[in-house]
Amino acid sequence: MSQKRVWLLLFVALLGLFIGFGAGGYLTANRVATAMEQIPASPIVLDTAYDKEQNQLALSMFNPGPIPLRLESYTVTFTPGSETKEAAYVISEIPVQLTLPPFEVVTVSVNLKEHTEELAVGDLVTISIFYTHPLSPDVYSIIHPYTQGASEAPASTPTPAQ
Amino acid sequence: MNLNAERLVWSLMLILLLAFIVVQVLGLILLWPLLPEDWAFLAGLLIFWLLANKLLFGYGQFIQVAERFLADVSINVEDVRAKVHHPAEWLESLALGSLLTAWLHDLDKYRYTFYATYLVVALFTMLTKFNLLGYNLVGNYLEGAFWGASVVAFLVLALDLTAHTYPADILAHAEEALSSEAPSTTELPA
Repeated sequence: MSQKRVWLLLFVALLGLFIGFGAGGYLTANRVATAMEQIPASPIVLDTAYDKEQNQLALSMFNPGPIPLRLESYTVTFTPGSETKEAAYVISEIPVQLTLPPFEVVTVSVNLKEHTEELAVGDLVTISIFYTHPLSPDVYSIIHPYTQGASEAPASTPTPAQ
Repeated sequence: MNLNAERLVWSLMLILLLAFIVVQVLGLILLWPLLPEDWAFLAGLLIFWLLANKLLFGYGQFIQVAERFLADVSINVEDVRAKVHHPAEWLESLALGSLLTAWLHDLDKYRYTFYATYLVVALFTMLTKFNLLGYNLVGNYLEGAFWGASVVAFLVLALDLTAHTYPADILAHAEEALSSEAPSTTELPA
């Protein structure tokens, strides 16, 4: 074999590696993407805001998966802190019936028990949210604890000591 | 032997392509554990193999005959003449080295057809990848066909480049034979 054919052999071997990498990567990527598209994710509560006037909590819920989720209902468990006159209570199975589209954020309004005092600092509200997805008849739940903090008070930026 | 293999592979690829079309038309794709992208890959591979079959076997046979010429092994000249699409009188006037080079150049029309078709597919694949023609509609499937075609194009390119290293060697070998011995050495050992 002449020298030019030896160099050609090396070049062709290298080119074969690239073609194999490209074709194999394409086929594998599609297989992985198809598998990933069938995996439902669990929703994530990104943020909770308390609305004093409505006496309700606004939950920003994010669906990080490719399958739409159906929020069915929620349960609120109120555990009083030291600064409230309200007694502990549970309200359960409040229907929501809200669809959480893939990769989107939806705000869910959680009503606290009617005719109760507004939340005081230190109160703990535990919200259980029940959801379903189309691949299974099961009902899943996530539990989000919310503690009323001092942040609801007028913001007081601490000034650094001189 | 080689010609039979060429016909055999051609028929095999044609049957596979027809079976592929039947499967697609009947919608049997749902019974198969392959993704649509895998089918696109197979379609590109089969169609481009049919386009490249003559090139693959042509260059493969040329390389074998050229190696025999360089090693001074006897060659069936009539077989070589039958492969070149030129007037028989003109071919009979050629020395064996020239005949081999004419054979190689005779494959150029298939080569340019193949590369042009491949480049058109590659161009449209890139256009869809850059979202100029609607990636989500056909782009991913076109890319599958492109990779299937790339496998065939790789084989064609490898044989093409290898075969085109031989004419210089054939010329040098013929000149060497011409200068070292009597002019009668250029006669064909038919």
